[in-house]
Amino acid sequence: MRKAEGGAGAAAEKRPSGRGSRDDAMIVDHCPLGVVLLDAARRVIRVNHRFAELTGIAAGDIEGAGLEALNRRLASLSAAEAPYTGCPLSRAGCSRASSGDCGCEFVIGETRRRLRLTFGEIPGTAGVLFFEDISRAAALDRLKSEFLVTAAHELRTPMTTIHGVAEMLLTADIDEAEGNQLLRALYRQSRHLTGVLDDLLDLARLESRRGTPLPGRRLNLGETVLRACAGFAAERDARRPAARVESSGAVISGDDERLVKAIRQLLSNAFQYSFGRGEVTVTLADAGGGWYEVAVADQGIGMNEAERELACERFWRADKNGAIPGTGLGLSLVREIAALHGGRLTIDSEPGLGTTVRMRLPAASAPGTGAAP
Amino acid sequence: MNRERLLIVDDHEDLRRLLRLTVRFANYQVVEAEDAAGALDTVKVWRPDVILLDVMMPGELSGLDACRTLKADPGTAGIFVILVTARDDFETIIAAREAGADAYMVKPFKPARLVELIARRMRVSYPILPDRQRRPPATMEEWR
Repeated sequence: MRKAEGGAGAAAEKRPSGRGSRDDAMIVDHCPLGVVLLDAARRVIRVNHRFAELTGIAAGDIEGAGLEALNRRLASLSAAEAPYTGCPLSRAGCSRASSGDCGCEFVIGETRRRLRLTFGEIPGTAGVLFFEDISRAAALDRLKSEFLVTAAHELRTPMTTIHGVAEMLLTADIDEAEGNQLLRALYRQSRHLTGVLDDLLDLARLESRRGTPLPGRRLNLGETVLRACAGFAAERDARRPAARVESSGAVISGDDERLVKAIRQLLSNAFQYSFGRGEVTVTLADAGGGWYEVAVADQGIGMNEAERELACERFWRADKNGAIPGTGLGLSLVREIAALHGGRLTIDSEPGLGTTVRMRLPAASAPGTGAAP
Repeated sequence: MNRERLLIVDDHEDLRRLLRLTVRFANYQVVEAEDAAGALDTVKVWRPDVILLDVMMPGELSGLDACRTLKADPGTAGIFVILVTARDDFETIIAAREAGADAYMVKPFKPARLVELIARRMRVSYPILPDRQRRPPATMEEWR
């Protein structure tokens, strides 16, 4: 077992002064945060299992050592780009020592865990340090920032056209033909903006339910597929989807309205990205193992492997120049709807040959009894 | 007299149309490109005086990449590059500066401000108002 660091000075500090009552020990051991208890002399009298798990410092290595030795140990374990700068309790006269939250965050070099330190003390008697793993929160923060940058782009770009066109129509002399073109641009961009906002709100609502099943009821998936196809009409496209229900007895538990929306979103993509070419089919089949599959296939422009991997990312679009109306949120929505039914989405695609999107959903009698095949 | 040249680079057709109409009164020669690679190809055969360059565009090259390429080449470094983008995060603004952009406009912007920026660079008199304008603005502020 390793000794507490710090040489002779630390050894002199190492004077265990008791481990508190059995109740205290139980509370500390069950705390979800890493906990270090200090006595009046700023010696470590107890650390819990979570602390050892977060920092890699075993209780036996640090109990009995002074706070300075603990600070040195944590500093040596922390990463250079996010170092541990020490607990304010060890610094006399530190202005942060009375706040409890010193704003100290650091990263353990080996595990890349980002930890936040907070503390409490009863002056002259005892102190307690809390170590919270904020790695996940930090990662989510980063994702949120990236998402906000992208969302800002998707909202500001149509607003630039809307604002600019409105200003031009109000202030400049525009002939009728140009005026009509500008009005059409205004209509397109305002409709696009409304679509982005609707999809964003819907996506947020669905994501907030993640882990909570939709209030579903038993439904015949074949009927849902046929209803989605029957009410679907692509813009400026005379083609209609060809529905094939190979598994007429497919019963699942789900939200009929959401599933119709998901299937129509897939149909919309299939029609828009096949430019009037070939057939768009919707097939419902028994995928085996208690799963059903709704596959929407087109013979359109298709995607390469890199594009396929990005296809479900928010705001990613296969259309590179904005000629095809869309928000880039459709497949994200479909993926969320599938996930809320305990299912999953897979995409097969070849550039120039077309795309097939498969939504696999568990049968009602055996909900989620295995991985989607 | 040689008409000055303006290259508009944006992947959104409606925005390109708006920008084209915004600058039409100034009698520039205007050419459009819908991505960064197209812009660099255009510059090889048609050298503009000013480029309006969107930052976030589809394709392998971003507007920042195109700006860097232009500024690194002595033959094109003198082109006045205005980055036009919806991104106003600190990292992008720093990256724009490092890429050598001469100006930076965040969407949504007022078209008149863009005209002013181009006009100053091109040293044409401003405001440039169309003869047919119904009611000329009384002040610069009103025009903006």
